[in-house]
Amino acid sequence: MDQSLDLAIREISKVVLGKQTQVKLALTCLLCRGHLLIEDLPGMGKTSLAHAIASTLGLQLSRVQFTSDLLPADILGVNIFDSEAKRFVFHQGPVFSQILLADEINRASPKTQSALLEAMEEKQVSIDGETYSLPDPFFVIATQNPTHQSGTYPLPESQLDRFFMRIQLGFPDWQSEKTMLMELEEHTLDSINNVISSEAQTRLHQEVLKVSASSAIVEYILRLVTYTRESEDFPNPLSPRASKSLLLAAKAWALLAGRSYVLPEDVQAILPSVAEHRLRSAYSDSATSHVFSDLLLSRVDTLAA
Amino acid sequence: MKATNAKAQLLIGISFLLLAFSMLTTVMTWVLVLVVISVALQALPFFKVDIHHPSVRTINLFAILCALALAYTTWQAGLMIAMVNLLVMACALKILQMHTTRDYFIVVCVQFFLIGCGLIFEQSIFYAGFLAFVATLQLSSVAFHISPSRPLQKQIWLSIKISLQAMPICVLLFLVLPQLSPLWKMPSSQSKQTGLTEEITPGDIANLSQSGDLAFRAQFSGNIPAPHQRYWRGLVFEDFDGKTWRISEARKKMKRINYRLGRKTSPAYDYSKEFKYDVIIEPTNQQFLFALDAPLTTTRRTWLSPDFQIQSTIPLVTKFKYSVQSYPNTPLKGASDYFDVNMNLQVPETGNPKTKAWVRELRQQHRSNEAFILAVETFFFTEPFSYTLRPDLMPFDPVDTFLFDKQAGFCAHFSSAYAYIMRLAGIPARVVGGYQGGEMRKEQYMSIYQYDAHAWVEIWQPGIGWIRKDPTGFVAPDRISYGLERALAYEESFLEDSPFSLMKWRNTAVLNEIRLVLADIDFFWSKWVLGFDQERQLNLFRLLVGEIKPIRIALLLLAILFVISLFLLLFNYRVWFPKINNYPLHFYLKSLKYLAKQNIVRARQETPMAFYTRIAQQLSVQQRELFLTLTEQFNQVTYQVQTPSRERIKAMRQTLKAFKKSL
Repeated sequence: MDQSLDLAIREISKVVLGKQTQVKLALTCLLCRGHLLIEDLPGMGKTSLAHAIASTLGLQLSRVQFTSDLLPADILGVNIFDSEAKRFVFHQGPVFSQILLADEINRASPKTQSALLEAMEEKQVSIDGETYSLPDPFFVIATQNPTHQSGTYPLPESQLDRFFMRIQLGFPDWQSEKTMLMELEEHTLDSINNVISSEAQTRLHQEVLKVSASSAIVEYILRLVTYTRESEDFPNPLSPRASKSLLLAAKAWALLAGRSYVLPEDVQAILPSVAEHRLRSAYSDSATSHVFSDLLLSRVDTLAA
Repeated sequence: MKATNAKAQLLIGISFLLLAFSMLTTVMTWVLVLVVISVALQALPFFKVDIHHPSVRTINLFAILCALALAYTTWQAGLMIAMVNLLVMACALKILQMHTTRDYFIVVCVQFFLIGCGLIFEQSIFYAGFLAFVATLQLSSVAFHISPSRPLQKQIWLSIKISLQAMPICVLLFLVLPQLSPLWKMPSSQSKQTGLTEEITPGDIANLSQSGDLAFRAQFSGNIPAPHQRYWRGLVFEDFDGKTWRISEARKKMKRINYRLGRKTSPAYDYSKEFKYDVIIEPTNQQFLFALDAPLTTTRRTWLSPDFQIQSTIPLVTKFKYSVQSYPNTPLKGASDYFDVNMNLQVPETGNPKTKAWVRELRQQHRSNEAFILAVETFFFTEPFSYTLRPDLMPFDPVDTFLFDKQAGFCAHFSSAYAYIMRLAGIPARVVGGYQGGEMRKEQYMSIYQYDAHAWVEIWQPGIGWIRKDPTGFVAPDRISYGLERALAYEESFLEDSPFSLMKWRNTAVLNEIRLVLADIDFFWSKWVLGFDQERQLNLFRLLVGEIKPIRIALLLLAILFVISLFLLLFNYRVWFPKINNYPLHFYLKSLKYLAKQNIVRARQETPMAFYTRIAQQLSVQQRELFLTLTEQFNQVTYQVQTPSRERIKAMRQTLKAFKKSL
């Protein structure tokens, strides 16, 4: 089974060069059925990554570019009067797709943001008293500009918590960027094949749940979250939802590494992506670093002592 | 101090409040008010009320003023009480400026000292229990100071646990620490005297009879006296001014001289009948001790005065225990009678004309002493006298009023009148104060309460000595045989001023049982804890080491120190031998310790494998392999399988051994 995962990583890496770890993290997030937030400067390949993932998994993708005048109806859909049928007909919005790419989510007004985030949590949409369920699977991959850029409405902590993971891409290294520039033609989204079928995705999700986490691992995670709750250095302590996410992500990471059990290394690897956006305050200006996660990891002993 | 320690401050405030109010009789009222105000002020932050705290300068100025006020108000009360008040006052002011950890610990220490001060004034087991409670509160406060977020029950439980651990050490120290005589004495003249006083005015003992407080307890070995034999002799009143009986100044002077010269009174004891008992007397701030006639005692710091009264050489500021043998058949007769006889014929020249006339007339009819006494007693029997706790006031010519007008009174009225009549008739007589009766508990000990206070008369018979006469018995025989309550049953005046006294509910079986059990506990405490003196300590030493020699005492103390250290060792053995729950982790940590000796230290966030990768180059090939094996085994046992099998742990232990050797 890890063959298909390896294959998927290779496929995505065709488009997003030199970002092996970020690609693995994104896959981890989707294996856990969590929503992904990609945060970075414009032009770093956020959208490409989302497209590549959709193609690899063979999922239907729709994209919404968030702007400050975007309204909830533009995402969710709207009832329009059909003059021939003489009744209102619901026109589905872009949210009715398997992967919704919410580009620059922090440029939309809070009202629109929360409409999307409600859909993320409930996996259904209610319009004019009528409830419509969203397709399964339903992932949101949102991209976000660093909050200090102009024209942004930062997501509040409560809504950041809905995202299972937040990753940053960062600049590519010299070699990758050179390859990218030299072979500009080859690395298009069309070249990506669908390597993981939807059945395989379901099976992989089941397997993630089966990965064993010993009590030593659970205690390590508990020590980590408890430390954030007791120390004064962490303004936003980690919630039980966060600890659940940590465990699940560590399991998926272990599966990606081809193991059937979780090691502390797995927890350490996924912690910055799962915990950083929950730990920091929405206004803190540390878009590209893992200040809180690094601090937390350095404070908590891996071994029970 | 941080706001998180508001709990510690509140708790220390509460314990201080309790402590100050438990010393109600010692601490001045205005100091108590100061305590309440300062505790309330420092408790306000806990209830989220912010006030502007007085500055240090204000408090210092206030402290000086308070010290002056204290000096003014307590200068007559004696040094001891002034000092305790000063301590309480200083603590109250210090509470107002608990800013630093140092301030807080000063308050804690002062309060522990105050607990010791509390024990100077009161030593009952219930008060000791109360102080133990206060000490627990203080320890809990310290616990809050150290770890503010633990819940209150856990803190209290921790304090109790620590105190219990200290208990065996405390008992050992109690048993072996030298029982030194006090380096200073309580200035007693200013203290309130309790119990019988140095003078009797009819009506006085009636007040005492309203008190259900304990006077003393006696533990008999052998015979127990019957109720009508329980005359606990105390004070002898030989000076009468027509109203009040006093201890005669001449007698006091004579006693002083005798005491100074070391003259002992030894009546001709008649050993045919004997009562043997130990008495534990409550503090009275006086020197009289009580005993049955005629007493003989060997207890230190006591002596037998010429009026056959046992006296303590110092005022009784704490409970005091003494052993007595009484020989009831011994005639109360000293070596020289002249002094006794002359002193006890004195009567005031004026007052009570009716009585004088009546005695003169009666004496003419009955020339012999026996006949006269009989006639007087017949008078008491035949006239309608009644025994009451609520006698009318008799301000002028009290004996006249009592004998011929009111004819109702308490023991002091009867005794006073009887002794006066005898003196008028030329028969030497004196009033004796003490206690009559006592409540026997389980054949073990007898409790004598303040309401058992009684007064009777002794008259002089030439050749025989002093003979006890109890005129109260003529009128109210129940008082002698069954006690005060029964004698007063008809007027329901028994303890009517203290409606909440348990004594009052003696007829309710359950409450009476509670009262008696409380009395048992108090007796046990008085006998074994408060009564543990130098003599008993020496006896204990003798029991342990035989003949007392310095070397043996030194060895004994060393042995005790050893036992105490052993206790401490036992309490803390987990520090040296921690319990191992997780062997794989234990082994791995051990290997880390070996490596740390080579200056190879794991960082906290490093996982075992990451650590190995980092340090692999610093190890030799053999070491590297062994450590890799160990790391892998640890990872496997810790993260891969749910419960490690015995074999794997064994394998890990072997790898660890090999690794240790390789280093």
